Amino acid sequence: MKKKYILWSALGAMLSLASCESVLDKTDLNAASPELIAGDSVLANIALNYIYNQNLPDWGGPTAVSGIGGSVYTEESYNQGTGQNKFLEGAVVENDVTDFGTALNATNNYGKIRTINTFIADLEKDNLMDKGAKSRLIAQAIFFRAWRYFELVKLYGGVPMITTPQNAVGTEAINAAFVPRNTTTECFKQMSADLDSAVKYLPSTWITPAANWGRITKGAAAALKGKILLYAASPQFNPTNQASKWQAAYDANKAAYDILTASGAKLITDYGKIWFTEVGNTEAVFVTGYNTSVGDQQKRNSGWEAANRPRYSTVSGGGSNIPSWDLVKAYPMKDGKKPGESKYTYSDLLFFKDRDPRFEKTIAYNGCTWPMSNIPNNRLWTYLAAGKSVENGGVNVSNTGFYCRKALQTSDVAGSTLDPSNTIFSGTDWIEIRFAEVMLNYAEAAAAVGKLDEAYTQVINVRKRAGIEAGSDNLYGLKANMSTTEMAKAILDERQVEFAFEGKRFWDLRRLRLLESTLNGKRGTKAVISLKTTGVPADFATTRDGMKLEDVYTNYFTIALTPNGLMSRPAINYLPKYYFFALPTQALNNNPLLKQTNDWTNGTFNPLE
Amino acid sequence: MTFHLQPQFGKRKGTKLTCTLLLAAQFIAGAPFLEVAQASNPALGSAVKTSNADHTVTGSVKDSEGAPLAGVTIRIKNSKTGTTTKADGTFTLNAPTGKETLIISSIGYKTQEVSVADRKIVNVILVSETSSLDEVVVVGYGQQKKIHLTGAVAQIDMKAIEDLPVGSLSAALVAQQPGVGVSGGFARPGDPATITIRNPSMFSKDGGTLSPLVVIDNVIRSFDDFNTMDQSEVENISILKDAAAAIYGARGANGVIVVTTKRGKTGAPRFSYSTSIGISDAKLPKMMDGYQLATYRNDYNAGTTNTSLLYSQDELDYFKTNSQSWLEQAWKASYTTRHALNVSGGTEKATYFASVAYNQQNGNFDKINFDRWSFRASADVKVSKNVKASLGLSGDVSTKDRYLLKQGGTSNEKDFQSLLYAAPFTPAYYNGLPVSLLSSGANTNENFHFFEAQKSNNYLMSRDNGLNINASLEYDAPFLKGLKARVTYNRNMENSFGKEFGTRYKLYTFTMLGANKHIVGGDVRSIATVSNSNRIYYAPSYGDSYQLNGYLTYDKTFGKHSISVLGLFEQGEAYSDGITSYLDNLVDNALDNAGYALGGTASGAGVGTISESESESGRLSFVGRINYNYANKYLAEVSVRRDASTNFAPENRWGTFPSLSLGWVISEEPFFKDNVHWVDQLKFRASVGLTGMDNTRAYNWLQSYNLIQTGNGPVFGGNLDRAGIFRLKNAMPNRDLQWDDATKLNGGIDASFLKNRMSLTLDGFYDYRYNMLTTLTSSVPLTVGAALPSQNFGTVAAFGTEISLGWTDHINKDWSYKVRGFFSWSDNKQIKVDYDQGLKGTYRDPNGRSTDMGFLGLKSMGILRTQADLDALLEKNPAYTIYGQKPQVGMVYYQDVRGAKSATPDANGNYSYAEADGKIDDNDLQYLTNKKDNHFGFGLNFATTYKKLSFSFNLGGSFGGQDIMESGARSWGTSAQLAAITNLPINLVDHWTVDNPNAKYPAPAFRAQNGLDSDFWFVSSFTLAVRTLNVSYELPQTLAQKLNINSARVYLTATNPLNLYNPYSYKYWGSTFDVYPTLSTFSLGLNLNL
Repeated sequence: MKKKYILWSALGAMLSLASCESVLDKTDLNAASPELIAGDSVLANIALNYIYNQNLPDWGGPTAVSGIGGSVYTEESYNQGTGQNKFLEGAVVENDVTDFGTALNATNNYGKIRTINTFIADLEKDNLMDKGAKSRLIAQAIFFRAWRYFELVKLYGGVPMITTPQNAVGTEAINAAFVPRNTTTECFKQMSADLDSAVKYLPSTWITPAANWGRITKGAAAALKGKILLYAASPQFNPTNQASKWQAAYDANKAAYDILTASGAKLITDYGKIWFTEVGNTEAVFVTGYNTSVGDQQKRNSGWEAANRPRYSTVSGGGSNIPSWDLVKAYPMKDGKKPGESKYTYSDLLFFKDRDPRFEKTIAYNGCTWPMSNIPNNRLWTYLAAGKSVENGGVNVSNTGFYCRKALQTSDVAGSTLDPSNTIFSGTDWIEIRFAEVMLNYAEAAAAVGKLDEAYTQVINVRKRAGIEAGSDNLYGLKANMSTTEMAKAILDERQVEFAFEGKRFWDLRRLRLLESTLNGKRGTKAVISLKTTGVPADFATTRDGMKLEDVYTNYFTIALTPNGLMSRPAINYLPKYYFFALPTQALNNNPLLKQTNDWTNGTFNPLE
Repeated sequence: MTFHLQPQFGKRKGTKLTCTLLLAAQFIAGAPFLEVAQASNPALGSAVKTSNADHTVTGSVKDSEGAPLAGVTIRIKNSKTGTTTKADGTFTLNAPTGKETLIISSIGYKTQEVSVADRKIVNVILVSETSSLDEVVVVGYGQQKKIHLTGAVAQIDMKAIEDLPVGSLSAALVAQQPGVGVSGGFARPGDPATITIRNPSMFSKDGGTLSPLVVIDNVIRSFDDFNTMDQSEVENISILKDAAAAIYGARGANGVIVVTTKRGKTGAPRFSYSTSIGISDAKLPKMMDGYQLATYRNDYNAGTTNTSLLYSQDELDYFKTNSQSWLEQAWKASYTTRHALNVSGGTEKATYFASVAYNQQNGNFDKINFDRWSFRASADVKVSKNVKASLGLSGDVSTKDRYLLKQGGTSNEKDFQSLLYAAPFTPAYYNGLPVSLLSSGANTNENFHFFEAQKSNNYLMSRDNGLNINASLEYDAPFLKGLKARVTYNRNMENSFGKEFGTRYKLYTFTMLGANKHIVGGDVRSIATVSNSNRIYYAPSYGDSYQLNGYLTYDKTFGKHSISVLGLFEQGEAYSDGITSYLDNLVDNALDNAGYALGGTASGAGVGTISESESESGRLSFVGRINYNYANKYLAEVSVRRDASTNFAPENRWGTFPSLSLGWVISEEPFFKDNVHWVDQLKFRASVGLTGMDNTRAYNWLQSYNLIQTGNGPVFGGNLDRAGIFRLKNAMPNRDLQWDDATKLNGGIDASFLKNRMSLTLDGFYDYRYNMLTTLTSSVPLTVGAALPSQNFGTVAAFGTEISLGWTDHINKDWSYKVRGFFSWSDNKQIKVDYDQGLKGTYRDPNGRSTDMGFLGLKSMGILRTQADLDALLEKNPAYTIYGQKPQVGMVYYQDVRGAKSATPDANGNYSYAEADGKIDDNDLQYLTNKKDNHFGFGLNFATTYKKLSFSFNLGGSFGGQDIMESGARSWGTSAQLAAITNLPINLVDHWTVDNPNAKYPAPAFRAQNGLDSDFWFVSSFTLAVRTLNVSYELPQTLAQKLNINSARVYLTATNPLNLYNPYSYKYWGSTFDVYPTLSTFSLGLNLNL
C-alpha cells in the first residue's frame, strides 16, 4: 500500500505543477525598460552618454568612412602608401563613399541617428521627468542629430531626413519607411532648426565643469550652426553666390561669436599650448574627451600621440602626418608676410629662419630642438649622410625629413601625464571646434557680406595670438584695404597654417570648390637635406647638438627639393563630381526611391536644390 | 532491492587493474558487482560425469559480445521438454539419449539448432537478428517496431562507431547516414562537430540554430550535452528527419536526435572495458620559404621609389639558406586516450547500469589539452507488481586548455595563424632573444610572439561540470490491461568556470644587417614590452533547468487491430547566471592567481570590471499520439502537440503542431506474399506534419536597453574614466512574433530482398517552411538604422532524396561481409524572400531560386601576360578599367558583361542593365556556376569479418558545388596582412613577372584587382575521403577463457586516414588553410568483456 501512496502523491505533485502557467511568467533579466530610463534624469543621462560616444569626432577631426579628409588628401602631407588612393587618382566609383550606409546597421550614420531619435522620442513620451532636465537632455541629443546630418550632407548633399524612429515591423510599416532624399535646402533647414532648439535649451556652461567638461554648450551649438551655414553659403552648396545664404552665415557666426564671448571664450595665449589645457580651456568650443586610463573598459586614449611621433622605438611612434615641403613653404614670415614679400629674407636652405612662430610649433625639422622622451635639449636629426638617413639608424625614417609636432606632448608641457614609453595611453583631448575657427568663420562670412572691418579684426586677433609682429600699420602682416575676394583668400591661407593637421584643409578646399585648382597635377615635394661630403668635421655627429642651427645648415648641409611619394602612382586628379559623392549602389538597390547624385551613373538628384 | 552480496571477491583471478576499476564502478553505481565472479564460472564449471541413463547437458548462452543471456528458451526438438537460462545464462537440461537436437531461441536473436552429440557441456552463442520484424526503433517519446515505422527515422549503427577516438559524439556520426551532415570535430581538441539534418535554412540573425533538437532519454537537452556523451553510454541514436519530429512541435523543424542511454539488463553482471591510445597529426599547409617570400615582396614593390622596401641580393641569398617555419617548429604529433568502463546486470526485480568514460586529447602545440570524464549510473527497480521506479544520475567533467593570444583580437586560431604567417626569414630567436616580428610602423606596442606566450604559461581555460538527475515512476494499471502512467522528472545543472591569464613579455628589435637592413642581426636596438592582455580574467557561470513529464499510455491489441495511445504533458524552466570579471596589471613573472594582479594603474585608477548576465525561460507542452496498425499491414500514426514558450509575447505563445503518417506493408498482403518471393519485405510510407522553430532571441517583443556598461562611454572632465552607458538592446519590438512553421512531407520505401540480404531505403522529402523567423535586412530601407527583430516572413521549400542500399552476406561459414552505400541530394527554393527591391528582375533577384544561387564572381579572361595582350585589350576597349583601375600587364582581367543597372524599373517593376560599358565593376558579376555548395553527398560503409578478424571503413564524399582558393591564397587577403609581412601559400611562388610571363598566377602588385572573386581561382569542390577505418581482432574463445575473460578484442581505428581527392597544391584537406588543420588519428585499442 505504501508504494501506492508514493505513486499517487507523485502523480498529484505532477498535476499541481502542471496546472500552473507560472512556468511562463518570465522576464528579460538583462535589460532595462525604456519607461524606466526615460523617467529618470540620471538614467537618461547615462543613455545620452552613448549618443555622445557614438557621435563625438575622433582625434584629427571627422573623416568619411573611407578615410577621406585626412592630411594626405591635401598638400599638408602627401600620400606615402604603396597602394592606390582612388580619391587622389580620380578613380572613385559609385560604391566608394559608404557613409550613407550600405546595409541596415545599428552603428552606421543612420543607426546613430536612430539611437538619437529613439532617445528623443522616449523622453518626449515621458511625463515623470522635470521639464528643464528633460529639455537639456533632448537639446544635447538634437545637437548630435544636426552634427550627424551635417557629416552626411557635406558628402552627398540632400539625404533622407529621418527625425523620428522609423518602425519596420510588418509590411505596412516597412512600406511607409521607404522615403526619398530630401533636398539639400531642406536638410540645411532641419539642421539649423535643430541647432536653434539646442541653443535655446542648453546652458552656456555646465555646472561642476570638472565632471561635465566636454558636454555640449549653448556656444557649441551656436558655433556648429555657424559652421553649417558657412558651408551652405560656400561655393560647394552655393555656386551662384546667393547673398542671402552669406547673410544667414554671417548672422549665425556673429551670434556664435557673441554667445561664446559672453560665456568667457577666448584664445589661449600660447599657440603651442592650446591642446594641453583640458577642463576650462577657453578656446575649446566642441571637445572630444580622451583619458589616460589603461583598463579596457575605462580607457579612451588618443591615438594621435603614438601615431605622429617618430618611429624610434624609444618614443614608440608611428610617424604619421608627415609634413610636406609645400606646407613648410606655406607659413608666412615672422611679420606675417609671405616669403619673398616679407622684410625677412627667405632662403630654402634656411627655411626655418624668421618664420611665423606657429611653424616651429607645428613642424619638427632636421636640427630643431624637440624635447622628447624626457631629454630637455633633444635635437631631431633627419639629414642624409652618404645618401642614407642618419635618423634612427636609417630604418623607419621620415619620408620628407619632417614630422608633425602639433599637440604632441613633449616633456616641456607643464603637468604632462604622458609616459614616454607608453604613448598609446595619451589623454589629450581633441578640439573639434576651436574658438579660433569660430573667429575665422565669422571673418569669412563678414567679408562676404561686405563687413571687411569685422573680418580684419578677427583675422588680426588670430595672428596676434600666433605671435606675428604687429607691423607699423598694426595689421599683423595683412594687406590693407583688401577686397572681399582678397580677404577670402587671406582667410583660407590663414586657416591652412592655423589649423594645419586639424582635419580642416580638405573640407575647406572642397567647400570652396578649390580642390582641383589647388591640388591637381601635384605629387608633393620633399626636402632632401644632405651632409656635405667635404669640409665637415669628423666629430660632427657628436658635436652637432651644441652648434647653432643656422651655422650648421650654412656650413655643412645642402638642400634639394625633390618630388615625394611613389612615382608609379599618378599625380593628384580630383574630379569636379567629387564635390558631391554618389550614394552607394547597395543603398540604391535597397531603396528604389533614392535618386543617384547628379554627374554619377544614372544620377538625377540635384544636390544644389 | 534484492541484490545479494557474495563474499568471494578475493577468489577472482582478475588483474589488479580490473579490481580497482570494478570498485570504482561499484561506487558509482551503488550496486554490487560481485556476481561477476560467479558469472564466468559456469562456463568453466566441470560437468560432473554421471552414469545416469539420462544425459544431463549443462551449458551457457551468450550473445555475440560474450554477455550471458537470461531467459533463453532451450527446447529439445520434437518434444515438449525444455528450460530457460538463468540470470547468468546457464542452463541444465536432461537429454534422454544425448543425441537430441536443441532448439535455442530468444526474442531478438536468430533461433539456433544444436546437436547435443553426447556432449555434456553445450555452450551457445546467439546472434542477434538484425532484420527481424521485432527490431525496435526509438522514436519521440517511445519506441516502435521497425516494421511499424511510418516516418523517416535513421538509426546509427552504434557498433560502427563504438571504437572511434572522437572528442565529441557528433563527430562519430560522420559519413554514417544520408541526410545527416556532420562538419568539424576533427581539428582542435575539444572543438565539437556540428550536425545538420536535411539542409535546413534559417533567416533569423538574432539567435537560433541549424542544429537539430537533442532529446536524451526523453528530455530536451542541449547539443553540447549530446557531444559530451561517450559512445559507451549510449544504447541508441535515432534521427528523426521528417514529420516524425512533429512530436517535438515548435522545436522540431531542424529534425531531432533521439538518444537513449544504456540501462541495466537482466542477467549476470556484465562488465566491459575499452581503452585506446591514438596519435593525431596533420599535413601542414605548404607556405613560402624566406627567399620565396622576399622575392614575392620585391615583385610586389617593383614600382616603388622607396628602395629600402626592397630585399637586396645579399639579403635574398642569405634567406636561401636561412629560413624557418615557425609553425613546423611548434607543431608536433598529439595523442588521444580513451578509457570506457561499464557494468550492467540485474534480476527480474532490479537492474543496474554504470559507466565511466575518460577521453583525453592534447593539442599539436604544447599546452593545448582537452579531457573529459563522463559518467552515468542508473537503476530500474520493480517496486511492486505494478510499479516500476528508476533513478539515473549522469554527468561530465571536462577541461579545455588553449592559448591566450590576445594581441589584435582573441580568435582561437591566433596560435596557428601567428605561427603560419610568421615571416620565414625572421627567426623566432636571435642570440637567445625573442625577435619582434613587427616590421611596419604600427603605432602600437603590441606584437605577437607565440613562443614567448607559450613560455609565459598564458592560457585560456574552461572547466565544465554537468550533472543530470533523472527519476521516473511507472504505474501499470491493474484495472485496465495496457494502461500505464508514468511521471518523469529531470534536473540538469551545469557549472562552468572559465579563466584567462595573460602576462607581458619582452621582444627585441635589432639594428639589422643586410644592405637594406632586412636580416635580423646586429645589436639590440630596442626592447618592447608586449602585453598579452596583462590580465587575469574569470568567467564562472551556472545553469539550472528541469523538465517534468507526465505520461499516460495505453496499448491494446484486439484481433488484428492494435492500437497504442500516448498522452503527455511536459513543462520545463531554465535559469542561468554568469559573471565575467577581470583584474589588470599583473606583476612581472606573475602566477595565474588574482593575488598577483595589482588591479590598478600607476595613477591608482581601478582597472577591472564585473558584469553579469542572467536569464530565465519557461515552456509548457501537451502531446497526444495514436498509433494504429492492422495486421502489421496498414499503419497509421496521428499526433498533435501544443507548445508554449516565453520567447514570445503572452498572446502569441501557444502553437499547435499536428502530424499524420501512414504506412502500407505490401509484402504482408497475400497477393504479394504469395507471388513475389524474392522480396522479403516492402513497405510504403508517407508522412506529413507541422513543426516549428523558435529561432530567435527571447524578449524580442519588448523594447529594451542594455544594463549599464562602460567601454562605450564618452570621457568627460578631462581625464576621468569613460562614463557608463545604456544602449538600446532591442531597438524595435515585435509583439506579433510567432513560431515559424514548417510543413514536412516525406514519402519513403523500406524494402529487403533476397532472403534479407539486400536492403533498400528510399526517401523523398519536401519541407515547406513559411512564416519563417526572418531578420529583414534588404527589403527594409537602411535609413531605419537598427538591427531589426525577427518577423514571421520568409518562405522556403526544401526538398531532396536519400537512398540507402545495403547488402549483407557471407562467403562461407567464417567469412561474412556487409556493404552499404548511400546517396543524398537536397536543394531548396526561396518562395518569399528578403531581398533588395532594386534588384527585382535582375540576375541577383533571389525570388523562386535556391538559397544557393551559385558562385557569384567575375568571369576571368586570364592574365594580361604581355604588352601585346594589354594593347589588344585597350584597342578593343579603350576605357577599360577594373574597379576604376587601368589594366596593366601582369593583371588578371575580366569579361565585361553589363553596364549600369537602370535607375528606374520597367512596366513590370523589373530592372535591367545597360550594355557592356568597358568598365569592370559590380555590374559585371555573374553566377558563374549553378551551385556553390555541394548538394550531392554519398557514402560507403563496408565491413567484413573473417573468423575473428574484422575490417571496416567508411568513405564519404560530396560534389555539385564550386570551391575557390581562399583570399589569403590569392595574395595578401587584407592590407593589414600585407603590412605585417605575413607569409603566403606556396602556390603563389609561380607568379607573373616580366621574366616569367607564363606564370600560373598574376603579378603580386595588383593585389586588389587579382584577388577579386572570379573563376580564375576556382578549384574543384569534389570531395572523397576515407573518414574512418577499423581493423579488429577478437581473441579466440579458448585464449579468452584462459585469461579468465569472456571476450577480448584488439583494434586499430583511424579517423580521416586518407583524402582521396585533393585539388589544392598548398593544403591537404578542404578546410581553410589558415586554421588548425583536420587531423588524422590512428589509434590502437583493446576491448575486454568480463
